[in-house]
Amino acid sequence: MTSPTPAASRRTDDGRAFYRWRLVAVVALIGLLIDNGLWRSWVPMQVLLAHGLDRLGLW
Amino acid sequence: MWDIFTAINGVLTLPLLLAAGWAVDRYDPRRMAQLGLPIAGLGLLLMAADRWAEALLFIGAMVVELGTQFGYTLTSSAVLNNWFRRRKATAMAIPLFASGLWRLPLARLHNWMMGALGGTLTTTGLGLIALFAVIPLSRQIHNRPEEYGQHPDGDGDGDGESDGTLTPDYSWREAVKSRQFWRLLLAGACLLAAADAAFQTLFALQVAGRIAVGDATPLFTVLLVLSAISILPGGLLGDRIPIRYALIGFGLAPAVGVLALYTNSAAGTVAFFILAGIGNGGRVAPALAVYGVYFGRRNYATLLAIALTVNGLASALGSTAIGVLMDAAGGGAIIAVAAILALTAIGAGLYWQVGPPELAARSHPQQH
Repeated sequence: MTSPTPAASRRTDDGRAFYRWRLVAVVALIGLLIDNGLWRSWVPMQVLLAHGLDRLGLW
Repeated sequence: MWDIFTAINGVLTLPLLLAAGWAVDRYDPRRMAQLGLPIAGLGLLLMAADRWAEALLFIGAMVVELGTQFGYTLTSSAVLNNWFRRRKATAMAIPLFASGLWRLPLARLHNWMMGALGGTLTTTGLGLIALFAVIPLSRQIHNRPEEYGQHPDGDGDGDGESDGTLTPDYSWREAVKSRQFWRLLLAGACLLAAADAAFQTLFALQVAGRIAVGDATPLFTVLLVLSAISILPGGLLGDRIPIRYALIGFGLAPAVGVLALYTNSAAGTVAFFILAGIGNGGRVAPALAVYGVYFGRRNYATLLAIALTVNGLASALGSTAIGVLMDAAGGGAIIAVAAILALTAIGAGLYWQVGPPELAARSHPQQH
């Protein structure tokens, strides 16, 4: 049933958009795990506060 | 210790970013993700071990930073830049939007877990989850559509000429020789410095007790939420109108907000937070996508790294300069407002002058 794809209709996506948007989802998931701001600023800050930043005179 | 960490991190971040940009272009995003993301995961585990030695927290945070710089920051934008042509900004906006929204409940969840399970168990657990999840996920990063018999946006030819849009493809040498690159770079830096200076002005006015709202805490929440939510519409808009116009629009928002703040009324203060939130979030995805729109795929990560480096410097300079200006003027905000408006005007003017994307000089026939 597969007909040769003429140049004009190659622009239609053939459902391949799925691969592109899956990639977006993968990048988003990695972002949620790693680049969520928590590890890079919030956790160090929180632990730092717990360690008594004020006692060190840095806050 | 924190001082040392901040200093080392500050000194290392910018050269690391440039090195990561070069590496992503030289090798490929998939390899960089497979290398960098496990490093970031290991960094999380090091952070968890801070009960044994406090220094591990800082070393861990630096390792997370290192792994993230190489494995995610530039890698993710580069890979999406490879796969998308007309939807670049939207594709880049979605992960950032998700991270932005996730940040708020995650902070609360983390807080609760710290209380219920204790710090070491929480951080170790989350570190292990992150480490073991990112390894299979990084294998799902596919460099370029052509490697899978596909094309950016799924278009057959991928050159985009059939729909009247250009797809430039510059080397970084060609890009840094082009006027458009420097205009984009300076425009972005000016508008970012203006936005940061706007916040600096806000803090200065707040400290001086001249903000017309008693408790600004809910407003900061509004700002945070709006900054996260606006990322998605920012990306959608950036793909639907010429991307430079979207950047001008989001760049103007904080300047208008500062004018509203200067009215010294409650409504003006609320307007500042709303406008600053929209401007902050909205510009994020177009600011990443613009270098792909103008310079294509070949050296995108290097060019983005240069832009992020310049932005980092501009951001630091903007905040510092406003503080110095306000001190010099005896705490007067008018000078800060004038400086922010001037920076915004220069930035917007430069974006305006950039014009539409062009092909690299070598692509034009018969040019000398």
